[in-house]
Amino acid sequence: MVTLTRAQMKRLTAVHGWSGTILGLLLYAVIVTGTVVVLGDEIGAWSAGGIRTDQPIVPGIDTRVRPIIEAAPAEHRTDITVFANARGELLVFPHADIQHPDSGEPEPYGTLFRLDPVTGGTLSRHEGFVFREPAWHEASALQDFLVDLHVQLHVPPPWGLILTGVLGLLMVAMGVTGLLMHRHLVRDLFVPVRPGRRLVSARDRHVLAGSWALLFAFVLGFTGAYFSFAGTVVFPLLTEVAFGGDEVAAAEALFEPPVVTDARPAPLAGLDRVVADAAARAGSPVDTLSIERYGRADARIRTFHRPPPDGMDFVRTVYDGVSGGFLELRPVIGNQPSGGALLMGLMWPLHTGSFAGAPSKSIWVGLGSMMAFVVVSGMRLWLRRRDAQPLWQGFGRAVTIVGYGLPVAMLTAAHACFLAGAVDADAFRWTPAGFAVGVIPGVLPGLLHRDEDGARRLYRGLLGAGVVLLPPCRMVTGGIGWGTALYDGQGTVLSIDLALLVLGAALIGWAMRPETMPRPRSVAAE
Amino acid sequence: MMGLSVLGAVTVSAVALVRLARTNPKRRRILGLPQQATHHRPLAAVTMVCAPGLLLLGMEGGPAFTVWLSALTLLGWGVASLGR
Repeated sequence: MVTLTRAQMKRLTAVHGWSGTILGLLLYAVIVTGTVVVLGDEIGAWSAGGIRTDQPIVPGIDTRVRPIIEAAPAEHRTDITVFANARGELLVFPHADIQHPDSGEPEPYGTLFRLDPVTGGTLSRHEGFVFREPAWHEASALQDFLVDLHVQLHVPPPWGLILTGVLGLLMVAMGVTGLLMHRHLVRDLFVPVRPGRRLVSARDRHVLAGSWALLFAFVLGFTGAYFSFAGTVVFPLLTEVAFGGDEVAAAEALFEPPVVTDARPAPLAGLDRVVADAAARAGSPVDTLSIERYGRADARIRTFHRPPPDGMDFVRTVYDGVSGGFLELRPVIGNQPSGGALLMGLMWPLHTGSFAGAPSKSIWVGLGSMMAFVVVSGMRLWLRRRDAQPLWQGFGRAVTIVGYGLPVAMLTAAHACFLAGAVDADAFRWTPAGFAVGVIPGVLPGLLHRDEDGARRLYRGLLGAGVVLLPPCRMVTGGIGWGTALYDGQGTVLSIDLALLVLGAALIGWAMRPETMPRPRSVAAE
Repeated sequence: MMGLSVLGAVTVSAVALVRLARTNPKRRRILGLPQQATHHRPLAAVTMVCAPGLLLLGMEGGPAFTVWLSALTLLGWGVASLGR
């Protein structure tokens, strides 16, 4: 263990504490939203009214997709993407990359068909720059809102991504400085939190949680920073330096399978056989299918799969678009398996916990909660050392308001999403509006209640009531009932409803529990 | 199958974590418990914590190991925070 002088330790404490104080509330917001969006797919299926099928891209898809492609204008058949939304509906998108008038960048333009995965009937069709309109391709406004809140805090791109990237690096930096400051990390892993509300108790709480969370603070912080910076800094820089700014050349070199150009006309291979073979090779169903250079002899069909039971990385296959023959399993980047591709492939599963189904996702929710606890307990420890000064007392109140107010506002966003759906309003507009409205009940208890313990109890009661009311709100506004969910085998809907009821009851119980420990005065020696 | 082996490995490691916590001298001192007569030798318990994870890594691969490691992180925090 590194031995630091008293002066070095003082400087390190200042760096650790001040950076946490200045950016800690934003870091907390990113962590809390991230903890929720670990269950993003499940929240999507739950809030979108239940899924129709969890595997829409299966053999039999050919007769549904081919007529749409053949009827599409020739200029939109350059690329065809087939994927599913949170409701399990099939989305078929023949398109070409066209320069967007606002961004000046090439963006996918075409007609998006939304199909019923059971009957194959067309539910809707929209033409335009599809990915600029979430309502066209997303089924859950709530999932879309929560993911955006986590990824860029609703700050316009690229600044939101840069901000969350900096916060990811801050998480890593806090881990490093904390590790250096805590000289007996391993020896003190089991030192209990000393009882009471003394300064030393606050320190014990922070140090204990921080010590156990250290490894995953690095993992989650680094991978989060990677995702924020990859598109905003790393790839643009790489494109400029290595490819002279040519984005198409960079994408072809890094992500596209090599192909000998052959523009002769040729029919597309049968998709059913490709889908069946790809699922067997990957060990998991096809998640997304794309057809490149449709109608040409050099066409390629690519499939993307979630990690198989014995793997962590997504699986990507490439097939000949004319013969339907298997060509290769592709790494996430480059043309050959490499250490870089392996690391890059691990980034997503390690950040989201989406590699072993419900167990890994549940644990990642726990890890996220643990990180949030570390951040809040760190800020509380910093404040306890300064709680005699009015300015810091005000900041302490701000910590309480953000700590409880953010989840309150997220809850009102969820309620607004369901209520908007019930009256056929645009849920993609009303969900963020619900969050903005939720700032009022999120802030008021902290501002109006002079006693901080009382404010916290009020917040817990508010949160508990909001959480308990979510399942009935979902059902009353048109969501499927428990009987239907059971009959259709939609365990996600039932599981989330039950989890919310238990969580809400626990919060209400916590709010009603009387405070047993009096707040002591700070002791200088601690 | 993977679920059962991970559950088994986490259980064995958790038992060892509890043992490590209960025999930790500093923890006992803070909790006001009597110090144990024999000298604290945590090597066996540490081995018992780590061995199931290494076995999992060899037999079931990376996903099982990662689930075990992350579950142990949470359990360790829980044991250290709550248990006596």
